[in-house]
Amino acid sequence: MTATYTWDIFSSIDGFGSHNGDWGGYWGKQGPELLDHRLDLYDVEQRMIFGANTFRSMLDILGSRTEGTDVDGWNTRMRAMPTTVISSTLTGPFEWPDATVVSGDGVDIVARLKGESEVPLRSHGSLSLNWALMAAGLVDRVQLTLFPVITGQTGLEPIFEGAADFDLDLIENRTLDGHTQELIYRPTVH
Amino acid sequence: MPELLVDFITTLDGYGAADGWPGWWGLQGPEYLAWLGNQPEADHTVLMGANTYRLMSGFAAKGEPGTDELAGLSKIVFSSTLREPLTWANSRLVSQDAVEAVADMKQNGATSMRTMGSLSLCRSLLAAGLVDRFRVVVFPVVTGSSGRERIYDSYPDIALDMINSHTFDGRIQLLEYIPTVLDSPPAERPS
Repeated sequence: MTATYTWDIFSSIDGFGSHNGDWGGYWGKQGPELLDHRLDLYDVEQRMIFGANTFRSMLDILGSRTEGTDVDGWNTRMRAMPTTVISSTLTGPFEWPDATVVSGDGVDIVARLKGESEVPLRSHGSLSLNWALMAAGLVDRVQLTLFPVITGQTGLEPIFEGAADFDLDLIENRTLDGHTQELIYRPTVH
Repeated sequence: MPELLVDFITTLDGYGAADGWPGWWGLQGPEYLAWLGNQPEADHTVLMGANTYRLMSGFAAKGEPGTDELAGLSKIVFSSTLREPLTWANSRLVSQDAVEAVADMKQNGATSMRTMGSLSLCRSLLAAGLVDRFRVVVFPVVTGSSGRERIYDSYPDIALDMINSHTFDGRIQLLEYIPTVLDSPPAERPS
């Protein structure tokens, strides 16, 4: 039995995962359907997988916050999940309930976790890690949330910049809040 | 007033073309092709730049599939380098600045317009705030290695109101928006 690995990623329509403008989180386009859907996604037990850079920014944003602050509910649930951080530089302890740092090659580590984990694996952000995992055929699902903005001037971190060529099977898609599109694909190296 | 539709097909990573892939990345299907054949925009004037004209008129001259339908459409080609007469049927050459010309056609013309390919023309029309609808049909492929001509390079920041989304053949995703160009620098924009 192999655990399913999902790469969960947010993007503008033009493919940027982040920005240096004044859009705010979710590019200011979050609505109740998106937030409810995110909460549902994190309702089941999973193991989170992060690269070092993404985990550092998660710690900055979520590390010291606890239930009852202004963190969206899904972030609170995500933070509570068992977490593997793939890094050769980070050392704990962290303000994160159950985080383990593993150093080494991300492909080897995730291949091993897929064999051992009793719960599904889910990554958020962590671009270069996930490009390597996709190229190695370890990503079962790319869960892309497309927010209705083009960020030609303020976009940062193109989400597929370092990816190879992939064929994609569309597994699920839905429109949230009338303007945000979630697309879930199964990628195969072309 | 006539409307202007910017109409693209792309990969999931935003490329309009790729080395070594067939047309539509080989992923067109019956639902998508039927929609193409029955588009309500069939009577729109097609706008294109010189590069797209050279490419498409070359395909048409070779009799490639699908080009018969294009021959009958009214087409405007914006170029300061092409010379009359244009050989592809129903093509009109405009050497005036495209933004000025399209603004004038929207103000004084009677026929709606849509683009075909023509990345830099579309970028200029979008940045000038002339575009009423932005439609992209996303094909299920990532071309991080072989993609060329990312359609969004050098774009402004644009807010999008979704007006339509549809899935064809269980794999091809249409997304359609009303664009609003955010023209002040982000730091100066009121939040």
